[in-house]
This record gives sequence, C-alpha cells and structure tokens, in this order.
Amino acid sequence: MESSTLHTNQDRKTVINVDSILQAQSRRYKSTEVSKNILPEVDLGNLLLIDRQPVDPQELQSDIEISLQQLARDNTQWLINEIWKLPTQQMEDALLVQLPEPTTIVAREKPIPKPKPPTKWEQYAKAKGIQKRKRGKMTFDEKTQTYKRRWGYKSVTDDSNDWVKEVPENADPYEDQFEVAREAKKERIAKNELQRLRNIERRQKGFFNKFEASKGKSTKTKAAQEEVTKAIKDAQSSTASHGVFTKILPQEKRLRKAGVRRKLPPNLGDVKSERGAGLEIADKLRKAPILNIPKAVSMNPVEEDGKKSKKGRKSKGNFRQGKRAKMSNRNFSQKTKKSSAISRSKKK
Amino acid sequence: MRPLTAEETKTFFEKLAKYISPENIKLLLDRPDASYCFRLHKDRVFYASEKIMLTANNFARKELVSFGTCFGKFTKTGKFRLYMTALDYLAPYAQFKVWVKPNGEQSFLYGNHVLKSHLGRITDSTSKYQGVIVMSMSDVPLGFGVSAKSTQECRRADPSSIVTFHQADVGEYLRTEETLL
Repeated sequence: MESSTLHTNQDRKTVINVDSILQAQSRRYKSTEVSKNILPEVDLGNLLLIDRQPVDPQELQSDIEISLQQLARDNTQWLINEIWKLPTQQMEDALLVQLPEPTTIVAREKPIPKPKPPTKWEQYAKAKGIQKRKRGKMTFDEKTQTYKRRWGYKSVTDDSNDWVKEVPENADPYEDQFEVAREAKKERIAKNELQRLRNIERRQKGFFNKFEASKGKSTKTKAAQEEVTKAIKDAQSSTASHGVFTKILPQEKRLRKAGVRRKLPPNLGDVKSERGAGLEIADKLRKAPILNIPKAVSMNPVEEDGKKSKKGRKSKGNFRQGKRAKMSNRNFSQKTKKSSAISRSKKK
Repeated sequence: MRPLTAEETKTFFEKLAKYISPENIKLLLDRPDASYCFRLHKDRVFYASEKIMLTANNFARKELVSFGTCFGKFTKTGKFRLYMTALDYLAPYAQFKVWVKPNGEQSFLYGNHVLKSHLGRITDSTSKYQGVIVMSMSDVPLGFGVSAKSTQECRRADPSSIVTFHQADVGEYLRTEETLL
C-alpha cells in the first residue's frame, strides 16, 4: 500500500488522505459488482452460467488473453454473487448453501437399461393370458386355527414337522415315507434352481443371438465352416509333435497354424546354396518312379485276377483268414501290379 | 521378389518335367556361362541371371513388372501354369515334339488344337497326355501342348481327330499382348 501522508513542518500533524487509501484498495480488489447488458442465464443447481452477451470483436482482438480473462472473471463473479443471494446456514466454522434443483437437462451418461427379457414362466403366462393376482402373504391354517405363511419356512404346506405320515395305497409298505418326502423336496429345489439358472442364461446377451443363429441355418454358413476348420486345425496339431509329423489324408488339406508366420528365404541370400537346393529337388524328381497310368490300366487284368483268386482259395483251405490278413493280401497284390507298371523316366 | 520355397520349387519342376526331363532342369540351374536363378514375383516365376535379378531388386515390388524370362505363374490353388514366354527354354531341351505341316501352322497359331490331318511328325514313344512342344516342319518352335493320343494311337486316328491339345502358341504375343504377363 502506498502511504500518502503529508507532513507539515509547522505543527507536525499527520493528515491522512482517506480517498487515496480507498482508491488504492479499489485498485487492488476489483468490484464484486458486474454489469451486463444482457442478463446471463444461471442454473445454480449445476453451478452453470450461460453468458448471452455478444462479444465485442474489437476489444477481443486488441488483447485476446486479457479480454478473455476479464470475461471469465466477470462471469464467475456473477455466479458467485448469485450463490450469495441464496439463504446460508452456519455449520460450525463453515457457511453452507443449499443449491436449488438443476434446471438444465444434461444428457445421460449411460444408455437407458434395456428391459429384462421375460422368464420362461412370464412367456408362458403371457401366451396363456394368465394375469398375476395379488395374494396375501399369510393364510389362515384350519388345523392350528392360526395365520401362517402361504409358502416357505413355517408355511401352511410345510409338513416337515409331521410325526406320522400316511402310506399311500399303491406305495411299497416298507418304503420310508419321510425319506420320500425329503427326496421330493430336494428334487423340487434342484428343479427350481435349474430353471432359475436357465432364465439367467436366457437373459445373457449372447444367448439369443446364438440360438437364433443356429436355428434353421445349415452348416454351410461361414461361422459353421470356420468352426469346422478350427476343429480340423486342432485335430491336426493335437499330437505329440504338435502336428509336425501328422500324416495328411489323401483329400485333406494341411492347414496353416494360426499365428505362425511362414519364413521365406531371403532374396539376396546365397545363390549357390539356393541352386544346390533346386538341383536336389530336380534330382529327386529324376529318381522318383513315375506311374504310367495308361500302361497300368492296359495291363492284362484277367490274368492278375485269376492268380489272386487262386491264391485266395488256396489260403482259405489251409487256415481261416482274418479280415486284416485279407486286407494286407490285397495291398500286396496291388503293390505287385504297381511295381510292374512303374517305369523310371530314365528308361525313356 | 523372393526365391521359391521348397514346395513351390517342387510344383514348378514337376510341371517343367512334363516337357523337359529333370536332367535338363538341372542344366537350367547349373549354367556354365553365368549364375542363373528362379525368382517369384507377383505369383509369377522369373528366370534370370543373378546380375539382372540383383538389378531388378532395386525396384519396388509395385513398380516392377518383369525381369528376365517369365516361366509362368502359380494359381491361387497353388498349381503352376506355364506361360508362352517359357517356350524359349522349353524348346531346346524338349523330349517330346510334334511337327505341324505348313497348312496346319496357321490354325495352331490361332489357338486351335493340332488335328491328325495337320500332323507332320511326332516323337516316337510319346504317351497319352504327355507335355509336347509343337514345331513347324522347319523346326521353328510354335508353342506347346499336351498329347491327346499316344504315338501308336495317332497312326490309327481319324484325320479330323485331335492329336495335341493346345496350351500356348507364339500367336499369343499378338492375340493377348496386354495380358501376356
């Protein structure tokens, strides 16, 4: 604070200029009064103020930082002034204000919860037109002349405290009727629990979709085929070697394992070794026996058959031949046929 | 561009072996003049000298159209299909040949099968469905195909019957110029 005292030499009296002090004060603290041409909208419940006054572009452009700061301060002050207009409460050291109900409608954060899908009973009741009727919880028990619960613990129907039980006419006389009742109750509980769980399952999101998808659609859908492919993949790799040595059936495709990237030889690798690999493959091709199908087909099949049948008859006479033995015999005959039809390409 | 995998090489060589013997495939790889190699680019197999391959390697995959000689392409099902451009290497090493009479040349070059009436000569011991090179009578290679009949059957065949199924011919250089590669 700037001291504005004046000292007169004559009487050494101190004269204080009050105006200047007040001015200095007002310079330090801005006024709580804010003037606006257009009244801002205030929603105290949300501590929200909407300033409708148009912005003066010239003032804004002169110094944008300061003018924005000014605007923000004024509006905050207005909001605080509005809060101070509300009735206050003293609570120990604090002053409390009860904010009114918010008037501005703010959008909901989360979507409205979906209605629960009906349980099986609710579905059935709706189909049959069964309406819920209000029934009291307590009913009058004729036996004991008291009011008892309609169901559950200590209910009218509770017969667990009976000391004697009737044996039905068609029942086994040596059967323990108490045990029967206990079992029946257990079963009822289990059935109810199962139904409850089923209702929960039905309520689960995926259940309906899955059910709808599987209903009335063939296995030729993309999803079904993907499932089959996955099953084949699993089967192929479910061996001790993780499918490395798994034999592939004639019509079966070797499926590529998911997540395993194939490694390709580098383009600028060793050309010599690459050539060596190529030569090896060509060599193997040269050595591979070529099955001459037309020649194999044109071989005299009658003679072969005759030999085979003769052989078969002979062996049958000697000992009983099992199915497996017969199979191996057949393979053998096929092999001989093939080997005679095989010709090495070199021969040509 | 990349070298062929073992599986691809096998498929490719098996196809080549139908036209030229595996011995000759080895000759393609092991050349005395320069180091040659097979490279796969955009599913196509190219045969080029190492020098050309290395030069072509400087181009981006997208920009590179061709280098060396295109032998053919792998189909989406993994089979190999020979292209007309491979003829230059197939013809000199060919095991089985079919010579076409001058009056049948044009018909073959228009993409038709070779008929018995156009057949000039055929390699002895050609079996059925054997890969053959089609030549003119003056030993100019015209294309290649697959024999529809064995040499024995050809002798007895009807003049209008097909002797060789057409696969590729040099006429393709004109007919399918845009889609050759």
